Amino acid sequence: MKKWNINELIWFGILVAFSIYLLNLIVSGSILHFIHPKMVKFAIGSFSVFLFLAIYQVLVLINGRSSKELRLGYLLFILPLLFGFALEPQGLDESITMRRSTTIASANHLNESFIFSSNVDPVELLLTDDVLVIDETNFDGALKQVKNDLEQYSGTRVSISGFIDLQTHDQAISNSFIISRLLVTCCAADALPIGLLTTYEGVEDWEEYSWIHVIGTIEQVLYFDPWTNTEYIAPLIHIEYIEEIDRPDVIYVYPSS
Amino acid sequence: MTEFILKNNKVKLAIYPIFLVIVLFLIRLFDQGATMITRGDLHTFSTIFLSIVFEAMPFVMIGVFASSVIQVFVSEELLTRIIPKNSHFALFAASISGFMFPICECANVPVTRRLVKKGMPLSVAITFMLAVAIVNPIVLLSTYYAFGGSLRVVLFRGGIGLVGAILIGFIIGLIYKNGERELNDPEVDLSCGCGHDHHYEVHDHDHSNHHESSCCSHDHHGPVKSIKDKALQIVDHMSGELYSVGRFLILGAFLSGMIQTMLPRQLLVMIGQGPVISVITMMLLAYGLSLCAEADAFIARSFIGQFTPGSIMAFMILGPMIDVKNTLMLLDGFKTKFVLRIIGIVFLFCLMIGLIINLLGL
Repeated sequence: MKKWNINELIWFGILVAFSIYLLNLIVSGSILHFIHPKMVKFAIGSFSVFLFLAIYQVLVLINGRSSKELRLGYLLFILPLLFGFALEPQGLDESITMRRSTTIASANHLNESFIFSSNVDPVELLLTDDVLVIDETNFDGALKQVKNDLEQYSGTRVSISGFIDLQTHDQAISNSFIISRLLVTCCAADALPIGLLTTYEGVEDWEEYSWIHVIGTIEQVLYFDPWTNTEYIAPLIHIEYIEEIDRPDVIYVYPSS
Repeated sequence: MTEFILKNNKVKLAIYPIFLVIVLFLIRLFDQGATMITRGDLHTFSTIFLSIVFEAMPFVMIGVFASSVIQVFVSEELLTRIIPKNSHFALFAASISGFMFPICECANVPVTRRLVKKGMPLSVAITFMLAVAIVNPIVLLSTYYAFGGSLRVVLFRGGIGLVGAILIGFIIGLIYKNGERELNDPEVDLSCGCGHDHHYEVHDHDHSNHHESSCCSHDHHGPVKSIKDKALQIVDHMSGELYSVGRFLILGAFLSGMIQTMLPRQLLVMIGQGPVISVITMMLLAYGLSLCAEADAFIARSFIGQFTPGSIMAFMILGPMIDVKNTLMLLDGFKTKFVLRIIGIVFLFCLMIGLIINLLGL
């Protein structure tokens, strides 16, 4: 009787399961909850390799191979599959702001490290009817631009959308919250909340993590960053108009370059 | 003996369903918010965990493919021929040979050992070993993508790795004149080029088959083979190496996700923002995780904003040079005192680099 090689069988199962899970993510578009859109082609590549190796593994199973000690390392491969299939994680949510402080101005030395900072070329910001429109396509670039040329943008009216982050900033500024988005450079694991500080009289009517669209005027404020213990001049939006909007399917924004 | 293995295998086989049930049970438990860990934490954790795995996996696959091609087609004789002997230029040549032989840090120890046996000066061989997993097109490409297309990170990582490898190789050359003497049993070739089975044995502390020379299930130094055979060999290598390398990636991604979601925020700030403690922590993490060089940039990237720049660079320099898995392989091939000295020098170098970056505020 031919000896059934359990090692190769488990490996075959793992390769097939990875192929199915990745294919499912790619076809449904859920892969965007995990990685930057430009990395999707690589995900398709790794799906192909898993599938190819699974097919090769059929040959190995048919031909048989001398049995070895059972490999416990396979358990590690089963782990991500378990989490993926059992939880179907839908990407990071707004609560990540509690773990990674929201960057509201450029003085955060960690994010502005010479080596690790991403170069952003100055972008021409369009003023539509004298309103600076910041949406998900230019969120990162526009925020950097406003911070860099704060003097110039002071007094400008701005239209911006994002979610309310009530807790992670200097509470000394009255009626304030951050209008925030998650910036993903490469994959969800590196998501950093970025946003603009705002002030609004009726802030207590709004719940944390509500999605809103606001129009307001840019002002300057002395800001104390509780995360890095530093003080600097930051932009502050004085809100004139506020409305609730639907939560987007993918809540990330990507670096403008 | 056969019966024992069978019994042992049965015990191991039983672990699989038990493991599945326990993990599923824990996931359900946490998902229903029945514990201290909230539902949000669990989903954050699994997103970070899976995103690192998916992000790094393609690069691991490219690396595994390159290493398999090299394994099948290139011999150490070729490498010894190409790198000039006994000159300072040799150190430089060794440090950039990763561009021609993009093997990652899993294969570099056995190759280094054989290079020393073939008469390459110890300093040159050590430079090769330390540089090959950093100054390496696949690793640098993955670094490029991990940091959102930043050439600066690539240049810093490559540059520091290159200088470090040459410097450490040079120091080793000053201390040790005769490399052959630092080998364990120079007569016996314990290590096999294809890391997989070998790692596996070291990892599981199972030395029963260790001294058998046939550590690969196939014979790749046999007589000339057809293209088809070689292609099959490459695929076979890939499959095996994907296992041996991939599990470290998954373990690393798991721990990275845990650190970032389960550690209390205050502790994270204290460790991550301390200019010295952050560097030491990240170096120990790099050493302990034994990540493959193609994947570590993605893990490093996930710490940006929480850990100091110096600590992240130290993580990306130390990991490919030395880690737990490499230490086990080194101890297998070289004398203990020599191995400890190398580890010490690499740690000191990375600590220095990390502190300099933090002090200069780079």
